[in-house]
Amino acid sequence: MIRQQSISRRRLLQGAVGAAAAITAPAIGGGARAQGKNELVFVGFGGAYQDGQTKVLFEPFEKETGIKIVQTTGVEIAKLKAQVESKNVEWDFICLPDRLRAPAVQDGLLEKLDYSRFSTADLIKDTVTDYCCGAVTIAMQLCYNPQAFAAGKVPSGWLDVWDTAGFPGRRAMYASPTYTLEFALIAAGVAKDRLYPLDVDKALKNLDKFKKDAIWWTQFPQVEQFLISKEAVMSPWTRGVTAQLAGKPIHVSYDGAAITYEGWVIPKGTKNFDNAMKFIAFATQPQRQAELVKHISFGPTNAKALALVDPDVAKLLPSHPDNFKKGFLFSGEYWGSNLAKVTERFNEWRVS
Amino acid sequence: MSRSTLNSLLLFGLPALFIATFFVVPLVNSVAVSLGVPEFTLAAYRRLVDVPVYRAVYGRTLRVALIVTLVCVVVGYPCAYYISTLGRRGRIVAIGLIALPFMLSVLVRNYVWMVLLQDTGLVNRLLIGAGWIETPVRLMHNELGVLIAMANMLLPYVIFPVLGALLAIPPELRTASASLGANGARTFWRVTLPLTSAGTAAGALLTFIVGLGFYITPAMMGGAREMMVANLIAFNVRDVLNWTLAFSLSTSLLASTIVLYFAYRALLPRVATLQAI
Repeated sequence: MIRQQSISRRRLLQGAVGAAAAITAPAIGGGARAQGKNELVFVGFGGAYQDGQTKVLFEPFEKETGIKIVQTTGVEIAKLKAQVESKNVEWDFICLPDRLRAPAVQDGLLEKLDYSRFSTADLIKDTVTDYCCGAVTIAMQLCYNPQAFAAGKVPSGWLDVWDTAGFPGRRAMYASPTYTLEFALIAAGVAKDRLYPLDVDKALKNLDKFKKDAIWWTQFPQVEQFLISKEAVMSPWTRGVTAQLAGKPIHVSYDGAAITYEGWVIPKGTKNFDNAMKFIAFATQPQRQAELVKHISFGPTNAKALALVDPDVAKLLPSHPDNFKKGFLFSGEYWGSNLAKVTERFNEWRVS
Repeated sequence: MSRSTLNSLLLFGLPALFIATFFVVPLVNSVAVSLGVPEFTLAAYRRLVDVPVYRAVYGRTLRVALIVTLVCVVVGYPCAYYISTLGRRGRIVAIGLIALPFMLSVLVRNYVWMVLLQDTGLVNRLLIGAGWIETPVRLMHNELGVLIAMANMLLPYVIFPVLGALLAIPPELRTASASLGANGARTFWRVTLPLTSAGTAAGALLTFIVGLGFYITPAMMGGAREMMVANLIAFNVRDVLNWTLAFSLSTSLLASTIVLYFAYRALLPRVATLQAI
């Protein structure tokens, strides 16, 4: 009896040692999965967007080049920073929002891209920078429930959002200074090309109008539910086009929309720079970008891609020249160096 | 050293190593970062004192956690008492029902509360339909919404310890109390309540500490003003990479929790604390 017990205990201990070793190994050994192999690790935002990227970009790329793409989710600049600082870089490429690009560049977390390997002539110029190559355009724009308004009397821009008498109903607002301050300034009469650097005090003063009555949301998926249930009749939002194309009672306006983009970036210290560059060249081709629109309603950055998209869809995308002109280019640069300071002011305004 | 001593050492040592590696080291590291190591500076902590928004958010966090704790005790104690009176099968079903929501993600539960509490939500529509009110009552996008959802999520932290304490009371004690002439209320006040005070205190403390760290719920159920320390920590860690400020926020939250914990222990009756905490 005693003997048996001691054997089983020893086994248990062996198991425990093994488990502890397995847990600590990645931290000690520094083993990103793809290193030294014909593989690339991609980190995305998950959901329908990443499913679309898989079908349109990753699978065809693997077929064409034989380079396998390993996927994970949870893009966070903090995780990227931790990886780069610990010299244990697991991600090989990311599709990074412009807002996160600026802090990533400032903290030295990205590799400079090698634009000698493919032509960027057809890409939207503003989205091609040293460390980041534009992949999709996204609009933070006025979205509203048309059923909440009389026909022909729907809101068309930020002035209408601030016109609570002319367009009654509750507003939903993004509980972050990014985008929100820009819209408040446009509504206060500031010209679109004179927004940056932002006049924070002026913007907050204008936001006082619905500080108490508005719904202040933080999670993007919340907005669809608010608009459809008419809990709010209008809100700035990034997924209005997808909702409108899906036949939901949500319409969008591009008047004064903040147009931003996501771009391909390569984390500093990756061992697969060459293959990652190969992927970026592949993913920015017009055909690939046009295909992606079928899965998620973001705009292509390649001018030639727009012509390949169904015209009814194309005219709703942020990249469409008409829409691009009506909106303004959101400044990731400004927010990269001012987010902390301005958010502190914004939070103070929130709690006061 | 005998074999079995070695084995016990290993058996104790491995979990200790695990805790040290994944809990103590990061914790010490976060305190160090908050102090700006290798230089030593209290600049981040100064900011927390100097900038009014941090004080305001700390005050709100403590207040929300405290109110939620009180609500959970007031609602949770009778719940636990009722469950303790059920038969074996009824008790299992009740415990299952209370534990079940734990298997849903916090995000999903917040959405459920949204659907119930918003202006166009189920509760308001029922009240309007019944003719009790004419315009919707604001049940969310304010502190009330945060309190309701948080109390719902934290109730089990009170119910389970109290239930444990209630079930541990030998039934003879109540019979004895009755045989000495005490009625039900007196038995409750003199026998049941004192014997469960330790469990209740433990549950309340747990609720309060967990409540301090709430993050998604205030963001989703609250309005412009509902912001908790955890929201500020998350913002500084993830969005602006100001880890010094973030860790000074988390370190001071931890420190105030520890201070409160000892104050709480000192205030509670000796016996009660010894048993439960």
